[in-house]
Amino acid sequence: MRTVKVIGLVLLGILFFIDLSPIYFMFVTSLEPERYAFYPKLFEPNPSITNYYEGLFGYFGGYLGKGAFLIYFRNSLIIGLGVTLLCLAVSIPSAYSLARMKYRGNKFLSNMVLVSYIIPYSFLMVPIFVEIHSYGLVDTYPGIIVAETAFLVPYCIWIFREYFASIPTEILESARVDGASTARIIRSMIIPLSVSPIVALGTYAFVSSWNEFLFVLVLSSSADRFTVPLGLYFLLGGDQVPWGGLMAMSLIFSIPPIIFYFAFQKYMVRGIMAGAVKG
Amino acid sequence: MTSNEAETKPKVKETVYGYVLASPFLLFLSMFLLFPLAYEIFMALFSSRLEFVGTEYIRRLLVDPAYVESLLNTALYVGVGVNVKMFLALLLANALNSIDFTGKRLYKALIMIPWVIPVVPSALNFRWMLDADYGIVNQILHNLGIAPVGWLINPHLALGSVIFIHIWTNLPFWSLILLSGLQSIPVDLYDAVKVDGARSWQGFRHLTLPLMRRLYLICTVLSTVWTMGDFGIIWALTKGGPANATQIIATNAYRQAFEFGEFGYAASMFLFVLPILGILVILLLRLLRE
Repeated sequence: MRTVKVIGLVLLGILFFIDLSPIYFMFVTSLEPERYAFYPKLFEPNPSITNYYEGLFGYFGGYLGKGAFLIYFRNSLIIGLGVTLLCLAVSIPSAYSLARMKYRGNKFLSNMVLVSYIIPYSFLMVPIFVEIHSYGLVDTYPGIIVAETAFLVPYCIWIFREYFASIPTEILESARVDGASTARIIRSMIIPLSVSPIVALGTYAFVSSWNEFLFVLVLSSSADRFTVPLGLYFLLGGDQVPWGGLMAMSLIFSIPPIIFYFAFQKYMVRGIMAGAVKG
Repeated sequence: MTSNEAETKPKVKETVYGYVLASPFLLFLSMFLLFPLAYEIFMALFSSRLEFVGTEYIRRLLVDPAYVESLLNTALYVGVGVNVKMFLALLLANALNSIDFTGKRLYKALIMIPWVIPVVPSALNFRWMLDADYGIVNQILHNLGIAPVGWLINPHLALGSVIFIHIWTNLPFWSLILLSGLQSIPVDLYDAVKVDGARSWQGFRHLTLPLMRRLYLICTVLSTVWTMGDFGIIWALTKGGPANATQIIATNAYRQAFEFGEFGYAASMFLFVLPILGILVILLLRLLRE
């Protein structure tokens, strides 16, 4: 038994190393004082925060306009907040309808929620681009926000539906006897009772939008609409890649998802289990 | 009559209200799933000047070496990537479930970081680490007296490197899912086996394995569907190169549509594999309903 445990611990140790050494290396590179043409190091003898400062407020070592990454971060933030609000506004009433109301087609719609959650939307990149283009919304915030929301709504509905279904019927019935309308029940009962899933799913929507690459690439054409992943990606185009600055921006960019994960760790695994795995 | 009316009336009202409340979802569903799906079929059958071309695009696909290669690459990327990843995830979940050590909670949190970090930053970091001339990996190999390796630029190696990075990124997530499945097995079931004098590996064989089979299958199919749609990680790593060695369906279609303007042809590239995706989705719905 003891040997099994030792082997297990050794394997966990190796995994830990493989998992985290690239992240460590990312951090070391971001402290590099040279702009380009430097050799990689495992330790940085002259750590410098130039890359962070220059990357955010300067000219990115002459690669970009002044403060370009601030604009990308702003765009990521605007799109992320738009997606969060729209996603909650769409999923809460829809999930209430699917969870608490009986009508023909309810089950079918619930299945469609699941299908639209499972399907990889990259398969629809061409028609979705043409569609957004025909509305004149390519390279605008609303175009990107609406498309990204569409991909996130199914998961949010799925989790909300489960949560709303678990609210005791008596509470809602008493409100209905008092003559409250459905809209009022949602506003004054469901929403106050669901603060924690609203916060968790709202953050989930924000982070997913924050990470999105393909549909921002497809739906934006000018650099002042770029989000951070696009800004990072297009820095690769030049002859010299400013790796230090790239890694500095990458790390700042990764902070919100990391915070989100640590804040909602428990909730998220349970939610995904309940939503995707247990059905 | 009156009692019948009283029963049906609120039902009609509830149906109307139900659909009104669900209408935002219905709108998104039709705008971003049903319509694009129908439109993809339309695009694959008609040219950009709206002339009917029928199966012309599909026939062109089958003699397009880049497309055939992208199909093979996708099959390898998904087949090897998903299965190795799931097997490792099962091992990892079991190790985390059965071995106790100090700092286990912190360990579990930290190994999630590769999954939490957005895909473009980690792809760029690997591009830098695996750079043939300046990458740290080749630097270390050089210090050990090993010749530099073209991890992402050697056509024979690139797909393997990309698969490794796929596993590196997604292993933590699936391990966590499988771990929570393991933890949902009631402890008293294990106690019952222990009373019978079974050893821990017998407990694994007779309890864990049958109970985990369904979850493992669901995770594998779900991950297969999602991995078939991968784009960002490969586009940011290799753009499908060198010489199409890592070209998968989505990256290939993106090139056709947005670099060469061949929208109908790109749509037909997806359409061709849509039946496989459809079968997997139906299988998944069945598994979830069981």
